[in-house]
Amino acid sequence: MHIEPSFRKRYHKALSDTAMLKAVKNGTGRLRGQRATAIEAVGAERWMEFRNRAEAIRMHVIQHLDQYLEQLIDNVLKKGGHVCLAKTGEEAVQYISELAKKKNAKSILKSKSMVSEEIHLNPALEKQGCKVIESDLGEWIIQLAGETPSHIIAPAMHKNRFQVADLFNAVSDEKIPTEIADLCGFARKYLREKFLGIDIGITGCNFALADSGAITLCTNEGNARIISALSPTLVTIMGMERILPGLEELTVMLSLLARSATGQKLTVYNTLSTGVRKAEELDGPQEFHLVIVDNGRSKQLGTKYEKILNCIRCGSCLNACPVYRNIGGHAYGWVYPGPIGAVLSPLYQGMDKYGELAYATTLCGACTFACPVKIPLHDMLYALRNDKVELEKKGELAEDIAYKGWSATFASMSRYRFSIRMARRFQFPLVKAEKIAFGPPPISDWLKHRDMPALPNKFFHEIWPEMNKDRKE
Amino acid sequence: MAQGVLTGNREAFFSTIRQNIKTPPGGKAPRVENPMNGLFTQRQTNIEERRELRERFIHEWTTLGGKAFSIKNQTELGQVIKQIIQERQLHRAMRWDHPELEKLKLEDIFADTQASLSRWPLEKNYSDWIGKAAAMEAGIVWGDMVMAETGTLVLPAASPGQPASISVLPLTLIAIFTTAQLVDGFAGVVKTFKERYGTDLPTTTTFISGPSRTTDIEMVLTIGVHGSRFVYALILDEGT
Ligand code: SF4
Repeated sequence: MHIEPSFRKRYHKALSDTAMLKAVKNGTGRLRGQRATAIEAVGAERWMEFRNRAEAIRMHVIQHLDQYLEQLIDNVLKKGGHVCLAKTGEEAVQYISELAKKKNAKSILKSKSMVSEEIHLNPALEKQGCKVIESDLGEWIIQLAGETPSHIIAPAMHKNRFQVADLFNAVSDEKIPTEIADLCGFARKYLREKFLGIDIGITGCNFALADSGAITLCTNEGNARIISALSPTLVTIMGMERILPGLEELTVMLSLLARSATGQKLTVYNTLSTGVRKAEELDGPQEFHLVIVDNGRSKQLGTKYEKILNCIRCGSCLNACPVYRNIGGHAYGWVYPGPIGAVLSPLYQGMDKYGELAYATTLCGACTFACPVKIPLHDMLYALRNDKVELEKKGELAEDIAYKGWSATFASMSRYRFSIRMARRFQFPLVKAEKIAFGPPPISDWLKHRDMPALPNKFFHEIWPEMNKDRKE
Repeated sequence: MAQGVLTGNREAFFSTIRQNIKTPPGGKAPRVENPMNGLFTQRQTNIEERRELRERFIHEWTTLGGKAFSIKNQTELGQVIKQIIQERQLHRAMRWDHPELEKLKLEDIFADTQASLSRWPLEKNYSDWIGKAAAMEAGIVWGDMVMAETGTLVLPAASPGQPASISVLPLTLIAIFTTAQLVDGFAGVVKTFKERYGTDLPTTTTFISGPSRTTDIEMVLTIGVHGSRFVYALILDEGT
C-alpha cells in the first residue's frame, strides 16, 4: 500500500474531499445511533456487565495466549487441518502463495480479512497470476476502486451510490442504474458466478475456539459462509490474538460484537467451522489451512499496550471519534483507521512511520467509552505521544521555552492580565467578524477548519466587580 | 482422518510470546468463571413457556425481515408451503436429509404443485452437485435449535445430509421446526452443544438471524446480498 509522506498531507487531502466527508459523517452517525439504541435495549447496567465480562475474558486469553494457541493448533491438526505459524507477514504471504501455486489456483475468493490487508496478500497473489476477488460488497467496491478500506466494519463508507455505479459499470456489460437495490442485485449476480468457480477460498477469522479448533466467521451478507461451504481448499488467516477458550466465551463476544458494530442483536450469519469436511460430506473444504499471524503482536504482550490485543475489531471507536469523523479512514495511512488504528499502526509498523497518529485525537475519551472490551484507547494515545517525544528527543528546546513562558505568564495574575490586554490590543489585524480569521502557521492550519472567537472588549474579570456590586446591593 | 501438517517453527513462534507473557508458560489457567452467568437466561422450559418463546421468536424474526407461521397440523403445513411456493414462484427446491423432515412428507406437498423438491445429496461429486444446487430457488432445513431472544436458527450440520449449502445458496430459505426446539438464547444452545458434542463440534454450525443484509452502500439497508433474501420459519406445535 502506498503511504503518502506524512499524516499532515493525508489529512489535508481528506479535508478537501467533501463528498467523502459527508458520507463518513452520515455513516458513522447512523452506526452510533444504532449502537446507542441496542445498548439502551440491553440496559446500561447490564451492558457494563457485558463489557466487564468481555474484558476479563480477553485479558485472560491474552495473558495465557501460549496455552490457548497450543490447544488450538493441536485441535486443528487433529481434525485434519493444516496450520502455518507465521512470525511475519511475509511468511504468511509466502505460505499462501505457494499453496496457490501448488493448487494451480486461478480463482480466489475472499471474505473480509483485515490481516490480509495488513500483510498485502492480494497483490502478491495477483502477481503470480491468480484472480483475487473480494466477496464482501464493501470490500469489493473498494477493490474495484483500487483503494483500501476506510472503516473496519463498512469499508466503502466513504463512497456514494453514484461512485459505486461507476465502478460497477466498468465491469458490467449492461448499464446499471444508480438505485442501491439495483447495485446490490448486480453484485449478487456477478459474484454468484465467481462463488461457483472457487479454487481457493480465503477468509479472516473473527474468533478461533481453542477447545474445539473451530473458526468463527461473522458476516451479514453470508459471503464467508458461502466461501467456507463451496471452497475445495479453504485458507483462514487469523491474527494470533483472535482466540477464545470455548463456546461460552464466544457467546459473550458475539453478543457484544454485533451490538457494538451495527446495533444488531447478532450478526446475520455466524458460522462455526472445524475445517475439513468428513468423509461422506459433500460440501465444505477438502483441505483447510489455518494461518496464524504474529506480525508484531507478540511484542505488545507484557507491555503497557498489551490490552490493544483485546480488540475485537467492532469499529465502534471509529464512529465515536471526532477526529475520524472529520478526516475519514484513509488519512490514517495504514490498514486500521480511527483510534484503534492510531494505536495499532505505530505499534505494528513503527513509531517513525506512524507516530504522528498519536496526535490524531482530542483525548476526549469517547473511544475508550465506546470500546466494548474496555481498551483504554485514549490513555494509550497519550502514552504513545510520550514515547514519541522520548524517542525523538526533538523540538524539546522550542517546547521548553514555549511551556516555560506559558507557565510564567499564567502563574502571575498581573502578568496574565497584562498579556491578554496586549493580545486584545494587537489582535485587530487578525480579526474579521469577531473571529480570529488569520494567523501565522500553525494557527493558520487550525483556523481553516475551526472558529476561534476574537478576544472580547471586556473580559469576565473586568465585568465581575460590577456584577458583584449589583448583587451585593 | 489424517492429522494435518504444521508449517513454521513452533519454538520460534512461541519464543517472544513466552518471553513477554506475564504468567509462567505451560500452566493450565482456569477459565474466567461462568462467563455467561447473569448475561443470558438459563432455564428449563415447559411446553407453555416454549409457546411464549414462539411468540418472542416470531416477533424478532419478523423484525429482522423474515416471515413466520405457527402451524397446527400437517394440513396447515401443506397450505403454508403451497402459499410460499406460489408467493415465491418456486420451481426447484432442495431439502436436508433429516428424519424430522422425512416425517412431514414434503415431497407430496411439492408434488401437488408445479414445483419439485430434491433431497440432499443432489449428486455424488462436488462438480456434479454445485451447478444443481446453485439453480435451486429454495432450501428447506430443520431448525435444530432456535433462539427466541435474537430470532436465530441454529443449524449444526450433524450429518452429511445436512450441509450448509442448502441454507445459504438459494434465494429462499424455509426452516421448519417445532416449539420443542425453542430456547431463550445462547445459554440453552451452549448447554445442548456441550451435552451432544462436547468439544467435538460438527464440521459446520450456522447461526442465522434473518435474511442476508448489507448497508455497504450509503448505509442503506438492502436485503439479499449473497445469502437468502426471503426467509420463512414454519413452527409446528409440539403439543399436537
Ligand atoms: S478498540 Fe475497541 S472499539 Fe475499537 S475496534 Fe477494537 S474493540 Fe472495537
